[in-house]
Amino acid sequence: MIEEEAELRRSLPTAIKIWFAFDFIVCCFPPIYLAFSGRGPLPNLPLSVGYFLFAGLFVTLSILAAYRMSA
Amino acid sequence: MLVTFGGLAAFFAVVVIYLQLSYRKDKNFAEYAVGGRSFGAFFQSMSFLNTWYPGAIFIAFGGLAVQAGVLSFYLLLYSLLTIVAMYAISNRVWLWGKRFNLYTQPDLFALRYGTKNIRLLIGVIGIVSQFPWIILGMKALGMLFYYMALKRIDFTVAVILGVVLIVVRQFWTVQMGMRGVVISDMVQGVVSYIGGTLLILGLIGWLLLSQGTSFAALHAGLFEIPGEHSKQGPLYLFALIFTGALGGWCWPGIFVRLFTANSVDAMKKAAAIAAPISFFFAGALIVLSMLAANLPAVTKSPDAIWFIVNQQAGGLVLLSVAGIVILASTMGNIDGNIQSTGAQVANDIFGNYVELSETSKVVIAKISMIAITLLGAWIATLKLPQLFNVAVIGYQGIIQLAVPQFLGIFWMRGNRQGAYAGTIVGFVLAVALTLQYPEFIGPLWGVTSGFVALLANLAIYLACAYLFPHADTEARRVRSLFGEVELPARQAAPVSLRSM
Repeated sequence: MIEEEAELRRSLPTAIKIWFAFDFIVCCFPPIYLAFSGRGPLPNLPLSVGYFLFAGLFVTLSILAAYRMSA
Repeated sequence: MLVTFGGLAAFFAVVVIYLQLSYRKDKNFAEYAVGGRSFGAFFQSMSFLNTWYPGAIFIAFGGLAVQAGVLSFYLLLYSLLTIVAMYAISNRVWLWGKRFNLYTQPDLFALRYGTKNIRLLIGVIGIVSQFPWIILGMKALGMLFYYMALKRIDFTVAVILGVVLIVVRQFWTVQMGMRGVVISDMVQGVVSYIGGTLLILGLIGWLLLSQGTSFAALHAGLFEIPGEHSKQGPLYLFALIFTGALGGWCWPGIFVRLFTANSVDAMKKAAAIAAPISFFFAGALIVLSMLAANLPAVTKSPDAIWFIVNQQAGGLVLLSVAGIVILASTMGNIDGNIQSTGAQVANDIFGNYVELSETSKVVIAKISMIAITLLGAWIATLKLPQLFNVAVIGYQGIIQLAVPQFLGIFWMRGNRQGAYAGTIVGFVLAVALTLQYPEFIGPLWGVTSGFVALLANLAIYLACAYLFPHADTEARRVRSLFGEVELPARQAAPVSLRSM
């Protein structure tokens, strides 16, 4: 029971909380995603496609980092 | 047709045999509803993915990527943010679930807000909102059968065949409950999201190397994100991703995943497994679909992109594999939704008013699941052009649970007045606005109706939290839930959820 209560009070490490908050900012903040709208200078690697893949990778890494820190 | 249907039949048989071999009679409702909280990380991750990504995404998001381009990447981002949310809430939700024997999402609301009657409201919203999506899942199988038959049968016949298949499949869902859902999700998930990702990557290679397609050949408009001068507005993408991510955990079929794990660590590890798979799967699917927009056949039938590319790349054999991937993901999604709906009918609707034994609850859940399956099957065979719009209304409505759910998990001050009033106002407003603005609200820079309703919901919840502060006993009870004071479990859950 004591372990459970300690677990209930336990929150995520501050670095992970900040990273998770940045996940939402990187993915949802209009000035950021609109800055990457369009094809950009590299026709075979469009800017907007690169943005979405980078944002996805950024979020994925935050989850992996959170688990690694908790483990 | 022998090759395509033969593949589907063989896969279906493998899943059914695997389920039959794994059969174990459930001892009580806890085993039937949440699989006895016994599943490890890999089962959890596959179960989450198999419920999260229905087979229809190959059709809907594939078609959207062909027609709207990069906007369809919102699937990738909101899916990953949903996993972030899963990671963040898993600790408290799992521990509450284990300590207080919670079986469903409404159970958690009842515990947190100290009133068992809230289960009815949350249960009804969940069931009503989820039901149209069960029907759409059944209809998606119709499209699968239509293409597996090489378009040589009538589409209505294809829908009926798909519905018959999924009705037969529910025999094992009804019989085995959550254990059957999670066990089959593991097989189906591996096929859909690990096998499916490998298949998608292979198809991207085929498009680039053999067909000479590239992003450079696509229309420039496909790379534009809706902004200030777009039809939708600059906040459209924000609203899609934000409400999608928070709303993900409002679905009963998704939420109950938090109660089936055997530990908090299993949930967190499941998130760490699901995230990279989700990244590669959803990212690659959108890239494939955009690249395929170069193919003339895909331009003519964008929704059929998955079938067209597979057939062109590998003939009937690959078309059959493509069908198996869709079948696997559709079965997982429908099974999970039907099971969670049945459990909520028994636990949160009947169980809210009548003292039911464990056996009675299992029986009621089974009868409900059969009724939902048959009703959904019947409606799926009807021609209802408004069905998708009804499903969208349900979606914008169900995400209103996000406010009392997330704030209830993280903030002690929230109370039942705010939960009731915010949810009801949010739901009604979401429905009313969606009828007027089904996609987005142009005058509000493209936000969705659900987002506007969420703001109203949040404002009411916060106002109630400050206008009606907890009484001392309630404040102490809530603090004990958060581990700040020690209180026996029976006092921490005065709502008599069940004997502990």
